[in-house]
Amino acid sequence: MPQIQVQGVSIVLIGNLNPAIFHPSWFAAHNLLRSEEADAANINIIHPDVASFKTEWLEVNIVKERFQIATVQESYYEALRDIAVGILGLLSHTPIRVMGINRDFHFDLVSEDIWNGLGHRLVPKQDWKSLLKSPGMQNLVVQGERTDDLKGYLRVSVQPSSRVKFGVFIEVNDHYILKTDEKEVDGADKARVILSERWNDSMKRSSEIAQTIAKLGETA
Amino acid sequence: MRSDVTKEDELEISIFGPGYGEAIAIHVGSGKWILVDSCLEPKSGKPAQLQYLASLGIDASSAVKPIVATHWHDDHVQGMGSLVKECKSAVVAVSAALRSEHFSALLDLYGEGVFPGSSGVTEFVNVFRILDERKPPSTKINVPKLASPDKLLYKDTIRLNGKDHEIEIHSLSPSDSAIISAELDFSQRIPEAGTRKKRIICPNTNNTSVVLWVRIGNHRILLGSDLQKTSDPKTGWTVIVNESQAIKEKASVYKVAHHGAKNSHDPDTWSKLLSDKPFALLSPYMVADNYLPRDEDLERLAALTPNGYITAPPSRKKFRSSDRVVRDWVEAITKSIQSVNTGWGQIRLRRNIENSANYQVELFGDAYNIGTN
Amino acid sequence: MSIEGPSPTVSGNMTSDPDITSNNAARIVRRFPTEEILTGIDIAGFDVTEMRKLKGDTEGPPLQFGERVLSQPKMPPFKEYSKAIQKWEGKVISLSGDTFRATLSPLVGDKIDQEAEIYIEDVTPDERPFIEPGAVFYWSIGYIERPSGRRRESVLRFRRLPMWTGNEVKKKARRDLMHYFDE
Repeated sequence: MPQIQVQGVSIVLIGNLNPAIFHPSWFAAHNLLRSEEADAANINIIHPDVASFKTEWLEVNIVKERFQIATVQESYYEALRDIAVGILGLLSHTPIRVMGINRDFHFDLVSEDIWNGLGHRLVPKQDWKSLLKSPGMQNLVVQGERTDDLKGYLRVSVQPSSRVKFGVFIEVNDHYILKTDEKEVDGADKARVILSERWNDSMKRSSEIAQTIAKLGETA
Repeated sequence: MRSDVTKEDELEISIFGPGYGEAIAIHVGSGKWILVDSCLEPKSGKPAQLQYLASLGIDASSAVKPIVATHWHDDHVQGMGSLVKECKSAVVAVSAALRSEHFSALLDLYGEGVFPGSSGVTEFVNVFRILDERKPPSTKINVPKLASPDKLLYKDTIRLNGKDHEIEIHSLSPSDSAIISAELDFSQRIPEAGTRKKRIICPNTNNTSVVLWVRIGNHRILLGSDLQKTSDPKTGWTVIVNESQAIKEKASVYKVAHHGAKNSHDPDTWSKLLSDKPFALLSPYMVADNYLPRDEDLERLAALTPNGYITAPPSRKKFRSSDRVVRDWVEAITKSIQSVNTGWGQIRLRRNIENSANYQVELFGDAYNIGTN
Repeated sequence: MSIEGPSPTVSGNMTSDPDITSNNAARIVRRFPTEEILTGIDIAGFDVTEMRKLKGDTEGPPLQFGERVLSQPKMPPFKEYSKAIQKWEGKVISLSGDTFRATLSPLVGDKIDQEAEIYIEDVTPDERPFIEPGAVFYWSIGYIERPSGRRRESVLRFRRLPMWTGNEVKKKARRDLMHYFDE
C-alpha cells in the first residue's frame, strides 16, 4: 500500500497585486497570523515587485501577477485556506482571474518492482523501446475537465520522487478560471466562496486522484 | 434496489435519525412523497431521505411534492440544499418567522464564503439560490410558502380503486407572537463591527418551528418539530391547542416534539390532539449537556403509549481511537470526551390508506421500542 | 513562458535534468545598479526569488532566454513537514472554569463526531480570548519530521479571519426575505 511521506498544499491566485503590502505585520494586523508568528517570520524580501517570507509553517511568495501561499504542515491546511479567505475578503476589489488549489504528494511505493510497474502502467514502453535506449518515464502531465459547475480544469503531474527512493511524486492542480469577460470584477469574491465552500471537496478529490494513481503500480 | 417498495395504496411514515439530526419522509399514495426537514446519513454523508428513496427505486425529482423546512437549526436542515436541488418538482415551505429583515441580513452576512462547512444559514442560502434559479421566466420571484397558523401548504387528491382521497398539509405554527419574538432574536445575532467572526449559536427557544398537521384520507399525523410549551399562551403548544381551526379529528401518529424534552411536553396536546395510544416517533439530540431525551422523558412517553419508538439510543459512547498517539494526546488535553452520532436508525410505519388495519412497524438500524428497552 | 504555467511545487521535486534554464525558471523583475531580482516558477523546490549580484558593468547585455540562471543541488533542501493522523474541526459550545466544551467534526482519521471538554491551559495564551461560543478551531494530532528527528505533535489553533468591519455589517442592507428573489 503506497504511503504518503511528504505532502503539501498551495493556493495560487493570478491577478493584479501589490506585493509591497504583504508584510508579515500586515497579516498580524488583520488577524491572519499570530503576532508572534509575524515577528518571527523569516523575510526574504518585501518590495513593490515581490514579497517573500516564511514562518514556521507558512511560505508566502507574491509578485505582481501571482500570489502563492503554501505549507507542508498538514496541521495547518485549514489555516492556510483561512489566510487566503481573509485576504480575499480584505482585498475584494483586487482583480483576480485564476485560482489554483494545488496539492503535491511524495508516495513511497516500497519496492522497485512496483515503482517500475507504475511507470510502465502510465507510459507503456513498447513503442518507446524502438526509439530510445532504456526509456523511462520522467514526467507525465494529464489534464481533464471539471465535473462541477465551475470553469477550469484538473491537471495531474506524475514524476519519480526526488525525496523518496522508489517513490512517486504526484501533483494535482485544481484550477479555477474566475474571469472570462473583461466586465467581470468579482473574481476575488468568487475565489473566496470557492475556498470556503469547496475546500473539503477539493482536498478529497486531489487525495483520491493521487492515491489511485499511486496504487496503479501494484496492479501493473 | 430493495424489495420492500411502498405500494401505491400504502401510507408510509419514515423517520430517520443519527443522533444529531432528524428527517421525515411520508408516502401519501400514488407514488407521491412529502419530505420534512433533512439530515445526513452518517456513512455516505448524503441526505438520508434521498438515499432511502433511491434505494426504493423512486425518482425524487418527480415523486416529491412538498418539502417543509420546519426551522433553521442545524440538526433539521443538514443537506436541505441538496434535497431541494434534487426534488425539482417540489414546493418548498419554510417558517413565516424567517420572513424577517434580520434573518435576511444573517443570510447575507454568514451565508456565503464566510464560514466553510454546512450550517443552517448556509443551507438556507443554498435553498433560496436554487429557488431563484428555478423561477419561471415570466415571474419575478419564486417565493417559498411561508408557514403560519392554519395555513394550507399543500393540497392534492389521489385516486385509489376508483375512489378519491384528499391530501392536505396544514401548518399550525409559528404563531404571530412567535414570529415577532423571532425577529427580536435574529436582530440580536447581527454581529457588531470590530468583533470576531464566528459561527452562529442557535438559540434555545424553538419558537420559529413549524408544526404540521397532515391529513391523508381518513388518517392524521401530527409532526411536532421542535415546538416547546411556553409560559406565553400566545406561543408554543398552548395557542395551537386552544386556537387552531385546521384540526378536526385526532392524529394517530405523532412525531414527538423536540426530541421528547420535558419543556415540549404538553398534556393537553396528548389529550386533545392525539388518539389513544398513538404511535409516537422521535429521534435523539446528542449535543452538549442538553442531550435528549432523558431517562425520565422516555419513561413518560412509555407511560403514555406502548407504541413509542426512537431512531437511535440517546446515549454516548466512550471515545475510541485505533491510534496510540491520538489516544495519548486526547487523554492529555481533554477532561472528558465522548463520541456522538454513533447510532443511526429508521422507524417506518406502513398501512393501507383505504382500510382500517393498523400500522405495521418496522425498525432499521439502531431504532427500538421505548417501552421494551 | 506563461505565468500560469506549471505551478510551483510545495514539497519540492526535480526532473532528471539538473540544469534549469531561464526559459522555464526565472525572469528578471527589476534591474538595480548592482543586483537583479529574479523571480519565477519554482520547479525544484527553491525559493522563488534570488538576488543575483552582477559583476562589473551593469550596462551589459540583458539576460537572454536559454541562458542558465540557476544552478541547483542534486536534492532539494530538507523541509520540516507534518502529517496528521487525526484532525477535527471544533466549535466551542460553552466555557466553564478551566475547560471549554466543544463539538469535534472529523476531517482526517476516524470519522466519528466527538464532544469534548478541553483544558483552556492547552490553548496558546494569546488565543485564549478566541474561546467563546461559536468560535471555530482546528485540532490536529500526528507527527512532525524535523532534521533533528520525528516528534509527536498536537496543534490546536483557532480560526483566524479579519474582524467584522463596519462596512461589511452595514452593506448587507436589511431587507425582507423577498429580496433574495428580486431581479
